[in-house]
Amino acid sequence: MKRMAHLLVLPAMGFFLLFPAAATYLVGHLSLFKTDYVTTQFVGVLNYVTILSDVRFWRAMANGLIYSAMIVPMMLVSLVTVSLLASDFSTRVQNAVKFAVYIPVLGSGVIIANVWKWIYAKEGLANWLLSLVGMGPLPWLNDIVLAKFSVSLMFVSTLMGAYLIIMLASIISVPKQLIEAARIDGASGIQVKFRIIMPIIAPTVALCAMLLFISSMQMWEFVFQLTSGGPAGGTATPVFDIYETAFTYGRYGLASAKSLVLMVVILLAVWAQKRIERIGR
Amino acid sequence: MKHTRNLVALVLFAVLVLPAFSEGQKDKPMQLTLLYGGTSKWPDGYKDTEGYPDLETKLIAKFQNETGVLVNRKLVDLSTGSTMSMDALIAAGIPPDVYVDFAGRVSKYMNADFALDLKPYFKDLDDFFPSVLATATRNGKVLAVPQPSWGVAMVVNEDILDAAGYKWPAEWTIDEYLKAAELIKKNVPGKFAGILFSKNQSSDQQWMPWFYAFGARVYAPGDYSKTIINTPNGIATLKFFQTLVGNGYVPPNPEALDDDMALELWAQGKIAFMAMQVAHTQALKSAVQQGVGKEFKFHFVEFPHAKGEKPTPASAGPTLAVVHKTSDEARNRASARLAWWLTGAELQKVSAITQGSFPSRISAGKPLANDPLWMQLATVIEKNGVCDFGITTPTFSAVRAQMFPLLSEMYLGKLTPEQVLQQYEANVNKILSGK
Repeated sequence: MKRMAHLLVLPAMGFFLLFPAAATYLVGHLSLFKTDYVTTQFVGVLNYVTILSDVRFWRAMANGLIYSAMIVPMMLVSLVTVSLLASDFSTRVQNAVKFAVYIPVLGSGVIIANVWKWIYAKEGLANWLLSLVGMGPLPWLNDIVLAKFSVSLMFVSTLMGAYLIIMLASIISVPKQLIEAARIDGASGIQVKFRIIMPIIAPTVALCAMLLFISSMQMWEFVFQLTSGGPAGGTATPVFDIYETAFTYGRYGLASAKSLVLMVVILLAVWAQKRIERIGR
Repeated sequence: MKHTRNLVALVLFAVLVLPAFSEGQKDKPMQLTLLYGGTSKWPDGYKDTEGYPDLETKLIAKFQNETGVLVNRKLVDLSTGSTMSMDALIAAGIPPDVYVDFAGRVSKYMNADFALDLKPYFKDLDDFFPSVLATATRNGKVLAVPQPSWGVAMVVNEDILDAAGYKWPAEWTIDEYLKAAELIKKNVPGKFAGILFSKNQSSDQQWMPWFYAFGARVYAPGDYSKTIINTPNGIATLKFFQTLVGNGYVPPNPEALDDDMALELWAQGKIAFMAMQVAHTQALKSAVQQGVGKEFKFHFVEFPHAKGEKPTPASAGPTLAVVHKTSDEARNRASARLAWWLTGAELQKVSAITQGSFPSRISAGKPLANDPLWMQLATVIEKNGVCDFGITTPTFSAVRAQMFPLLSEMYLGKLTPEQVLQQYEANVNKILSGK
């Protein structure tokens, strides 16, 4: 029976393993060359040595970590708040909330980025809202620190729907008997949420945090559309730097090497997170 | 029995029906891929009698009728100014047969391994101006052919100068430029003397002529083995940029502006002096039609020059068509013929009119000899010559990408002008050395 199950899963697994594996192999192969697709020269590990002194790449890595530090807490707090509140209501209301929050996920990244460009413009919605409370216009996309926050806010608002579905599903799967038992014992609504539900959904929260970390490091389309990595590379993510290395500077071998380095960094971070989780348990 | 019958039917189907599709494949006409940067719209008021929407579509149709070879046209993505479109096709294993684009991007592919020597395929190479054809020739091989050449000089918004109370001087110098800038800042709020932008590599047509204006050069004449830009004159140029930004003579945050945004601001009548091609002045018409700008008077002049320096040359360079060399001689012949159609006299004339550019073929004549803007730009080129930025060197597209991020860091105060040029020199010399 088990063997039959493995056999049935094998085609799909094979498909999902083959293409990333093949792509990783090809990228690894390309990383050993210096190429602009017109002239190609084998350079061995020289591209990896170049990465060590590539200030732009490490700045982009640091930006990725900063984005994670902003996006993960912002997203998790929003997710937990919205999903815990929504869980008190009927399935109909939950579905309506899911639908409303999920709409931006369905939208084209280009269109959403252009909407946010208008929001962040000098005479845009954000500065208008600030003017209502007597605050001056802010350079949402022209100040390095503020621009990172602006991109993070756009990321959270656009992709919250995708994670909300995971979170709500996790909350709904909490055994109702536990909640009822807690209520019978005199627990308030907030105590039920934080003492019963939260510990049970903690693994889901951890999963969302890990996925958000990976997404932050791999973010490209929002940065490309909103800031083009500027000002002066201040908002560039590792994937954006890889894109520029390849398509702006025409250094495809170096870009391939950077891709592999990023993959290793993310894998190490996820492994470290899993270890900490296991130790915590 | 039933299974055997089904199996036999399947085999018969495979044997009898499927080969019919392969027969169709054998008779399929040859198809070429054309990667094209831009289109030549018809001149204003012109209606093509055969109903074609643009000149390239008409020429491709003529080529297809003549040869029976089909053409799949793809447009170059110009958003980053890089060679991304071409590289992506090459990486996918489907390099275009003919690639037509700005010489600075095409020059990367002009090597004997990639490009077809067009000498055996073009019977009228002597119709091209020798100096222009020379830019597409390497070691005696004609590795590309030119479409019309574009020219860039400074456009002056006369209405802003009139409003500022600035009178045109006898000699157009940097000091006069700064004088005009201060008057504009004082008397015409909301308008700027000039514009700087460094968000993408297409900003080079704005900053490159300024180096010439201060007597700095990217390369020594004819020597593209190293850059010579890191000099006191080069540093003076960057300090001038800092002055423009610091004094508010240009729109703020140049690191966040790109060429499209700059052109929009000019078309809205906000910029007094800007480097442009004749073709770009059509943006004013679009702005007026969309209701975001008003007509204003403008004309072309040279860039100002620093005291003691010669008058500043214009920038210029051709658009080139390169043909991918294959082992299929029939394909090579067809691709070369397509390149001929796309660089012929008809295209040179119409493109010169719609783009305000300069034909590369002698037989195309001077179609814009009566156009005042074209004549103004032509006068700058004839009098002052052309800047040498190494546009047709194989490394231009890689070198081009080095300055704009450094300029951005300078505008943000992270680098000094000296550090910008030191880093630029190091990066460029590394590229030029092939390391």
